[in-house]
Amino acid sequence: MGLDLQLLFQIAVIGIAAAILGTLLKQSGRDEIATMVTITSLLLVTAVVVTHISSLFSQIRAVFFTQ
Amino acid sequence: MTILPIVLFAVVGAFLIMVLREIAPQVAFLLSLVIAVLLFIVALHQVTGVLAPLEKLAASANVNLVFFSTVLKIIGIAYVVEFGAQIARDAGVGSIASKVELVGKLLIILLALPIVNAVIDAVTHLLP
Repeated sequence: MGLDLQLLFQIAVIGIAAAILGTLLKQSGRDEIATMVTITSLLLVTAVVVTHISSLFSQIRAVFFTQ
Repeated sequence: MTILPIVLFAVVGAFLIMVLREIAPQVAFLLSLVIAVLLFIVALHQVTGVLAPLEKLAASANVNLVFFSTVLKIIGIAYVVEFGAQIARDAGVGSIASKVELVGKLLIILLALPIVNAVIDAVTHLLP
């Protein structure tokens, strides 16, 4: 585990790419595909976040609530 | 782990959030969540280092193990509640954050009741 900066950059790149793609698609008149791109990027990042939160909670349980 | 990587991590994360907040606010929030989780995990590792000597100390002072585990649970609840409340406050829902804190306080009181009972028992035994 530890602090990996790579994860931060990955998430930032996903966000920036989704924003750019969304703007391009919206300007070319494909609003629904732009929405899909936004939602997909959000889901991608959420999957990563949920994995880390679950690992954090299991570690907290191991440290404080062992009985 | 030294302090420098932690601070560097936080600064880089703050910069990325600042960039992302303009163009993708939801992703910026999730990024702040990830940074909070990773920093919390680091803090937890340090706590583990503190806890082992403390447990040894409690064992050598003949402290009842039930009390020690209760204190540990209370610290854990405080940790988790603080984390959740801060996340909720970051997301802009202060009302949910205050509810989370309220529930945490209630749970801590519930856990502390046996200790209070033990203190009262000791005092009444001292009284004639």
